[in-house]
Amino acid sequence: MDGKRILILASFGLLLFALPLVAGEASEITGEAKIGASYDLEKGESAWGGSLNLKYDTSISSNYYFTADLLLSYQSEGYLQPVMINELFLQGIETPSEEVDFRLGLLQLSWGASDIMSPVDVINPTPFSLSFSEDALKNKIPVPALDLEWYHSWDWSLEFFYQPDFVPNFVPEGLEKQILAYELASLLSLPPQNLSLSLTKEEPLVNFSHPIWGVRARGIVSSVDVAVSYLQGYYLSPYPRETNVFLGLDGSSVVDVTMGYPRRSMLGLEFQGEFPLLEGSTFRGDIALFVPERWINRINITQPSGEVISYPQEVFQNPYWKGSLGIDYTTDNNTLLNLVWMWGNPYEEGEDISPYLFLAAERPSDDNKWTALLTSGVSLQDGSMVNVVGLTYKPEDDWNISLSYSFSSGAPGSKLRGVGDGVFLGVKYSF
Amino acid sequence: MNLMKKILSLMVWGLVILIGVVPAWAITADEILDEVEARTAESETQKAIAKMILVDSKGREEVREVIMYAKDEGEDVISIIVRFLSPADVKNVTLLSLEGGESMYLYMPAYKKVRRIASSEKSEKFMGTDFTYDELGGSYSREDYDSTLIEETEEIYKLELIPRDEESSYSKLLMEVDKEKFYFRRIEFYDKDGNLWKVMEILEIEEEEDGTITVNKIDLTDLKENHKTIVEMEHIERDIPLPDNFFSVRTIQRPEL
Repeated sequence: MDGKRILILASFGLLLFALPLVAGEASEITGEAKIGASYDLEKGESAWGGSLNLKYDTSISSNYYFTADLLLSYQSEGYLQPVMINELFLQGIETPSEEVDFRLGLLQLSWGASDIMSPVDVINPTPFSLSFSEDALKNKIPVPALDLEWYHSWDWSLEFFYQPDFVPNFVPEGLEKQILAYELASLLSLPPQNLSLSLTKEEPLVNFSHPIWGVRARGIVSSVDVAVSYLQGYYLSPYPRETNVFLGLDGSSVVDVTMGYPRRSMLGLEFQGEFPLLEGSTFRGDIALFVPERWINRINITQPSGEVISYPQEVFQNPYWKGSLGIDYTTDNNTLLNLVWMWGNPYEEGEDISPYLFLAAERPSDDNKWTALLTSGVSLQDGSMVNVVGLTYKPEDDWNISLSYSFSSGAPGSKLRGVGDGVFLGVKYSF
Repeated sequence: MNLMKKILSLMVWGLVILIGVVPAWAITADEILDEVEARTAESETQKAIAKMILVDSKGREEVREVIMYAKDEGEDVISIIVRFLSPADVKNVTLLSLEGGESMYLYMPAYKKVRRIASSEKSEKFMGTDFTYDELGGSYSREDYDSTLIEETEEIYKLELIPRDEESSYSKLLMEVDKEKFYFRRIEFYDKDGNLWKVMEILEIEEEEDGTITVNKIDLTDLKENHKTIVEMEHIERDIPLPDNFFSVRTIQRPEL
């Protein structure tokens, strides 16, 4: 039995054990229900979906807590996992010693000072989403892990992370093949409609003796919050290791691709503090240095005549870095502005990395019922843009209605053009 | 986020107005302010649970509950933790202010991380409350106002307070101080044009056995916006034992406070 199954089994066991014990103790179920519909203005297609998030928290004793966070979801496009555990863990506070807090189970972690898309926040895999919304960008898949933090003082701590099983990003298989087929067709100059693709994925050996692990030191240096981290693990998306192409006489082609997850280590630096030159502003930054194992895609093309042409394609060879540096500021009329320069988005690695600039603005009404939103992103490499304008309305506490319109520009195939144009309407109820 | 900081300020102010009782006699305006400040109940640490009721121009109410911990660090410097208990969409959002706002942090459970936020603040409202950081952050001491005793009745002293800070949002305050118990019953805030802008009233107090006064209910009405905020202190504990490192980012991430 692998580590993941053991941890899941242990977590459910703890839940079953804990429930009778806590009868009469403080515990409750909270959560939120969402429904949403979108319309793709380019394709003329509509989609809708809904989700129910249930979170159960209970204290087992003054030092131990149990949390179960379940997500039931449906999307007409079928890109979602219908049932997903967001988190399921046992939490210890000031135990086994006063200086230590820990969580054990299926965990989500958030490293990095940046609000979203932090380059050092690479522990949890992500579910697939076509959305550019903040909600979609912060979604994560939990990993079976132990996360333990030792507090040396009120302002300095050292965190240890231990993950005995590998969990990759989730992409629906059909969609993954479709994306890969287009990439291969482009690489091999083949028509994608004539390409028959067979995909094999090899997950890395991760277990209790060969875990993914990390450490992170956090503290305050001269009124700036800083953190330095090191993570030893693997890429969460697969990369081709061997590609065998068999060209047919009729112009068709059969492609067998074997993919794997390259090993990588990450050295991260996070910092956030008040910006001294502008009262009311805060800066946040993350820098990550990635050192990947050398990864070569061996391409073998078998011609109709039987002749085989082989050549290597370098996927990862050299270390590279990613970064995010932003500042947020609240104006006199209560408008929140957030400007972020980014070197590499979450989907770019290695030599694909490119620069971006993002601006987000929020302006609530005086009674806080309405909020106008604007998010704009531009690729500084190819000039492609995406813009989202929106409006949220809170008719009552716990209810939130949002309407947004997104539109993108740029040449076909450019960095942000693919986000497309669309309208989204969503309703959320928190309880 | 601005709203969170203003609510923090509201809580700080709520602590400040827990005042004591003394007999009254002929006295100057400055001496009245001194007495009000001197009779403030002193405690090194406090825990409070409060309910904030926001009432709009149509009489619709929104209720927010918070739990708060505060510690007097000395020299009028307070560290404080405020956690929302309701409504559900902000439940467990927690604010930490260290040493009178020198540094501030916000823990948002949905993001699973602690954010540093700017400790400086503007004078706008947030989350629909009628309190601003500027007006709630300080006490009404003689160092901050030029005060004049303009009226005296059997029950109250009426003071006129002119802010010494030129950047204040107000041209003057009219404060009614209870002659017997030395707490302010009502304050009128006037804007820079001399128009009445806001009215703050103490609606309910409780006299402790040692003679100190606990303020249980406060109302602040914004006459321009036709909107009011009512704060009810539901539970207060003073001088509770708290660990040295309690006011920290570690604490605000805990599942229970």
